[in-house]
Amino acid sequence: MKKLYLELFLLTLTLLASVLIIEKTFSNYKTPPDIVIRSFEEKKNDLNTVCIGNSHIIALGEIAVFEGKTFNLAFSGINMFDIAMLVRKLVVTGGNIKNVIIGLDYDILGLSSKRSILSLQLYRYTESLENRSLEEYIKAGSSYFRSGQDFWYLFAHSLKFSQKSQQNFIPLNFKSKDDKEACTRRALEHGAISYKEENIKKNIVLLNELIDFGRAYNLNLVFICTPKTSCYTSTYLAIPRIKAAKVSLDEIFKKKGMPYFDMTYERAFTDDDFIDFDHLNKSGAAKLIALLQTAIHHEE
Amino acid sequence: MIASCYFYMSFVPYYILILFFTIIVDYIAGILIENEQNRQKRKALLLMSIIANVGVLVVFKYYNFFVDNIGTVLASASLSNPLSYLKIILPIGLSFHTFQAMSYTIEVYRGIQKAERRFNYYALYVMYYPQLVAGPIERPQNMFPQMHFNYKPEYHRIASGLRQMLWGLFKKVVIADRLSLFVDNVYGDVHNYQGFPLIWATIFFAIQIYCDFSGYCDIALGASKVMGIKLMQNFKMPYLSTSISEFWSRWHISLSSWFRDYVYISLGGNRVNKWKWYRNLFIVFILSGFWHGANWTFIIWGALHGFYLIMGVMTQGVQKKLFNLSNSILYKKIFIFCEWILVMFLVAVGWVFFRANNVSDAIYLLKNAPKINMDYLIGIPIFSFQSILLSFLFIFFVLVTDLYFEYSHKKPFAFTRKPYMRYAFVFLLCFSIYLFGIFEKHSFIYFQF
Repeated sequence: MKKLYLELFLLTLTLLASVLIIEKTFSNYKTPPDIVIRSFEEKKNDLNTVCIGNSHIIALGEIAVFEGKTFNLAFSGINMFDIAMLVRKLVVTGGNIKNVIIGLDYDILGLSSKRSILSLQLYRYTESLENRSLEEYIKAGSSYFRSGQDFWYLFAHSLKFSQKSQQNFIPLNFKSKDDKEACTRRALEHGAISYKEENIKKNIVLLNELIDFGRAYNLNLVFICTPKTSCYTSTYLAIPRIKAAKVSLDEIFKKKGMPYFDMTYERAFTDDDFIDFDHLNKSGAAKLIALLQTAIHHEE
Repeated sequence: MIASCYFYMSFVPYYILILFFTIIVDYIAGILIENEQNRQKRKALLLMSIIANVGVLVVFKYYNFFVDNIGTVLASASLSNPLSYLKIILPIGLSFHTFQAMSYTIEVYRGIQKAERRFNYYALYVMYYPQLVAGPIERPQNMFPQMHFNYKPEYHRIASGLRQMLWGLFKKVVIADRLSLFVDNVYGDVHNYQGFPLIWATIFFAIQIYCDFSGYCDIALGASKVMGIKLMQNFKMPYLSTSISEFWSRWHISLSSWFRDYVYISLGGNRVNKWKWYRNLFIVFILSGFWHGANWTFIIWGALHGFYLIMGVMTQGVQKKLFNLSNSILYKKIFIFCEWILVMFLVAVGWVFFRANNVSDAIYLLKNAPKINMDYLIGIPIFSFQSILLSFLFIFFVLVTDLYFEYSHKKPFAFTRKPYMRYAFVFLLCFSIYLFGIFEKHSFIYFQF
């Protein structure tokens, strides 16, 4: 039996050494939050407004709805928990941020952060995980797991691997806005990926808490839903779970007496205002800013 | 015994009472059957034990299915369903331990196994934790003699058990769970896809279910080996089969041999006229499908395999003639390869029904999978080309390993006598689990049965 113990000991040692080497190699790996949040930290004292949301908000760039400088702190596939934690982080960080524009698509209400790599990547900054298991904390602390187990990075030099400084949000197989079939599929995907009915209750609680938090700290929270192409919307809005999420969102904002700038039904946008099926291009973003400014002014 | 109780209770604690109910019923039934000389009374006792076991299965697993179907039939006649659904969670591994318990009373009835008088030994036979929730479905003749031996720690047995557990864990965490990410996305909403994504998802599911279930069995067999009990082999490289009957002699062996010994042979097996033989085959596979779950998809899956087998038997003569058409070795190899392709295709069609959420999804998938569009080779934007490539590499690795073990007649890890080679292989597996393992909570597919 001594032989077995010795072998197990040696195996553990070899594995630990190998894991440490991997961790060291990945310590320089830059995840999207590493790039974006570090840039935010550098600029935070000059900022007045921050935008948080998913890829639909990333596409807007640094939108100037309010006076002063704006920073886009959006991440693809973000969920309600991480949105709430990022807003809290803004308050803790300090700075002069007064306005927070939050992109809230209907499907965010059904998303969970429990299996999200983004949550692991954000943990370094938000110090909060929705899934509080030991395993998740270990993964969040590991550089390798934060990279989404990006094994190919090990061959970075030989594969001429380069990390993208910008988040890519256009679908890999996107070819043309005229591809109606792909557009329908994209809308259906958004209504399906990671979406679970049981997440709605938890996310409603998080949203209510977020609104209360914003009020308590005098943050001007502006909730928006960006417009999408007509082809996308016709499919997306027909999904029963999306319809239900929309009803829930309207109820929450009505109850809280807070406006929800939902541009889904806005007719001012044409297909020319989009990069793909659901992300606005520069002219679309400018149109959205103008509309938002009018709507906010009207609310005031 | 304590570990087994703890293991079972960690899912739904009070469900252990159901397990104890079947244990007590079968323990008493075994002794009574052995003591009884009258054949009719012995039969009646056996029947009572089977009814008690099947009754538990019917209530927990099939009741809601029957209510659902009765409701559908009544609704078509514009009548309301008087039966209401039971709001219960299916006890984990119910079908496995119920079948294991039934095999005990049947073997006692047949006089092959002596009734176990020590209650704790019998209880441990049913609830032995490595195989309690997903098999292999053991036979009393294999388990009881081993349980009476004194345990002595031995290096080779423990090391070999641990290595088998590691191999199982690798198959589960690295391959099965990785493939499930793709499979779950596609099968979760099949109507979003056509062509390649549907084909990949089905191929991936075939490998996923194999690595998931055989991985679990490796963990169970390895853990049991460490504790000094050798469990039966449940898989023998099923995807190398060149006929459906061969597939069933390699896939979930403990279940197929259970149905063979206790249902197929009891119905007369193949020692009856041709049509009754086909009937027997069909019944066994319908039951096998139904055993897997209370859903029409499983029943169709079972029926399909029954149909395949019958067709295989009916065309045996033609197959033989075609095989002997030429004496060329190359011809025979090509013939065997074509048979293999056909069998894999048929098995994959069966898996579509097994995995689909409902029959209409399965039919949609079968109709739309051939609509190939090269633009959607990968198909799901959230899956990168690298992740798909990695999945294919692992599939290749498993198939090559299986092929190697099949044709070299060697067991995993026994491929070399050189300790450093074995050590390197163990290290490679551990490191792969760290590098490529999917550490989300994916339970084993067969736990639901």
